[in-house]
Amino acid sequence: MSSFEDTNRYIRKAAAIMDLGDRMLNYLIAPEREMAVQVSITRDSGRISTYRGYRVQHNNARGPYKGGLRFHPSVDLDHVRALASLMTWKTAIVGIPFGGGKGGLDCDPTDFTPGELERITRRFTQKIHEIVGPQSDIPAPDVNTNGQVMAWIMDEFSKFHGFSPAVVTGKPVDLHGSLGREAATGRGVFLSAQAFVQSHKEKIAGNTVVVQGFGNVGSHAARFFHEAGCMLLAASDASGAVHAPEGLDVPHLIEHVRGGGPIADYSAGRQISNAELLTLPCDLLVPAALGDVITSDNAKDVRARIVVEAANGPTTPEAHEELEGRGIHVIPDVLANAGGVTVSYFEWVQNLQQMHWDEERVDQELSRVMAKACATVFTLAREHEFDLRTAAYIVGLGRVAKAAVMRGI
Amino acid sequence: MEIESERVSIREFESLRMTEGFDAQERAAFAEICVRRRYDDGETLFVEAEGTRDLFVLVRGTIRIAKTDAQGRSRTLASVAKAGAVFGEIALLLGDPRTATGTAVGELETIVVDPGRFDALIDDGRLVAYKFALNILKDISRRQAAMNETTLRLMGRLGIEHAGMAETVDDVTRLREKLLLNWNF
Repeated sequence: MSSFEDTNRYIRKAAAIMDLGDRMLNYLIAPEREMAVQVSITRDSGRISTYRGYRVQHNNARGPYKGGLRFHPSVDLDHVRALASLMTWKTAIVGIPFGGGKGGLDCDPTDFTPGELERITRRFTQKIHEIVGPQSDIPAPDVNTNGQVMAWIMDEFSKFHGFSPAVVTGKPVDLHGSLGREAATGRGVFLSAQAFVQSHKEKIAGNTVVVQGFGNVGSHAARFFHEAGCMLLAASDASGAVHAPEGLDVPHLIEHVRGGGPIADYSAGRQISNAELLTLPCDLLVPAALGDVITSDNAKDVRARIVVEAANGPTTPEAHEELEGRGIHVIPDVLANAGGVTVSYFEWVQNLQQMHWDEERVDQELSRVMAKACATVFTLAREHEFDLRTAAYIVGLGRVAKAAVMRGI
Repeated sequence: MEIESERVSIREFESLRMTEGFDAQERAAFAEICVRRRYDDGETLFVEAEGTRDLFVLVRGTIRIAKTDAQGRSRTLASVAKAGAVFGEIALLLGDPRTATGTAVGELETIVVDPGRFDALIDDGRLVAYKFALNILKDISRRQAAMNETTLRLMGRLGIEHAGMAETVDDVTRLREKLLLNWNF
C-alpha cells in the first residue's frame, strides 16, 4: 500500500464512523493542487544538473497551506501527497488555523557545495513563488532543509513580492524566526505523553522511557522526560542503540551526541540493536526517527505501555491494530509531533504582528495549545471508546469538513 | 361557451395507443364509457389542483398545458397538438388533484373517458378496464424513459455532474447538521 493510501486508510475509517458520505470523503482525500517543476542549475564544475521538484497543496479550508520542503532523492509525488494530507489533519487536530501542504526536490544536498545548494534553493523558489505566500502557502524546513534554506527562500520570494518574512517558517532567529522552535517538536511529544498519563490520573514522574532516534526531536523529548522525573532506559541513532536498566545520564548523552559522537561509541550502558530497543519493557516507547519501524513483524514483541509517535508514520496500520488489540495505547503522530508546526504558527503570527515573543511566551502558548488539543482527542476517545488515532482523525476531519461546508464547497 | 358532448364510434379507438390490444368487443365496451367533447378557443378542459377525474384524448386541435409557479404566475409547460395524446391519466387512476391546467388553443376536439363509468367497469371486474389501465401505465413508463434521456442530454449540455439540486442541497444541509450536532470540536 502506498504512503498516500496508508494515510487515507485512517481517514476512511474516521469518515465512515462520522457518516460523512462518499462525496465529502472524496473532497477530503483529494489534494487541491499539485505542482511539479523542473529545477536545473549549473554546478560549480560547469555541469548542468536537473531535478524534479513538487509542491502539493492538499487542503486550505481552515487556512493557508502549511508544510515543509524536503531535499532528498526519495522525494516523489505520492510521498509528498501523503505528507501534505497529514499536515491538513495535523493542523486541524492541534487547532491552528492552517491547512496542509508539502513539497520537495529529489536531490541529495550532501552532493552540493554551499553555493550550489543556495542556487538550487533560489531556482526552486523561482518556480513556485506564484503559489506560495504568507496568506496562501507557507513552507518550512523538513528533511535536509534548515533555517539557512528558509532564509534563501524568503530572500528570493521577497524579490518578487516585497519583503515577506511570513512566507516561510523555521527561519533563523536573527532573521525573524521564533525562539523555542528548535525544541518545539520534542516538547510537544513530552506534553502529549504527560497529558495522556495525567488523563489516567497518574503522574509522569517515575515513568520509564525508550527513545528510538536521538536527533533533534528525540533528544529534546528525552530531555523533557528527564526533567519531569522520568528514567531514560535506552536510546538509539543510525549507528546503534544503548541500554541501561538503571537509567541513562540524559544530559551527558545529549552532550555526547551533540558533540558529534554516535551512540554506538557511547561509553555507558550496554550496546544493543535498534530492533531490540523497540521491544524493551518500558512505560513510554518514543519512535523518533523513521517511518514503518513498528510493523506486523515486531508489533507483537513491543512491551511498552504507551507508544508516543514522535516520528511521522512509525507504526504501520496493521501494527497499530496489533498494538491496540494488546492494550498498548498509541498516541498518534498527528497529535504527538504537532509541537513543531504549532510553534511554526507562532513564528508566522509574530511575523504578521511584527512583534517578537520571548521564549517563555512561546513555551506557554505551546503548552496551552497542546493541552487543549490533547484534552479534545482524549475526551472523544474515552467517551466513544475510540483508539486515540481514530479519535484524533475524527477531530481533524470534523474541523476541516465543517470549515469547508461553511465556506461552501 | 358551450361544451358539446356526443357518443364516440368504435373506429375512433382502432389507432389509439390506450386501446392497444383491445378486441372488437372491448373497443365497443370502451366506447360506451366515452364521449366526444369539443372546446372553443380559450376554454378550460381541467384546472390545476381541482379534483376532477376526466381523462382526455386529443383528437384534433391544440391544448395548452400550464402550471402556476412559486410566484403565482401561470407558466406554459407545453402546447400539444398530437392526435392521440392523453391527459389526466393520474387523475383518473389515482384520483390525485390535477397537476396542471389544460386550455384549448383554437378549436379543440377530444374524447373523454367518463370516470364514473370507468369505475363501474373496474368494480365489475371487466378486463377491458384493466387492459386500459395497463396501457396507461405503459405509456407513462415510455414517457419516463424519454424524460430520462432528455435529462441526460440537458446535463451534458449544461455540464452538470449530478442531476437534482435537491441531492446537492441535501449533502450540504445533512453534513452541516451532522457536523454541528455530533462532531463539533
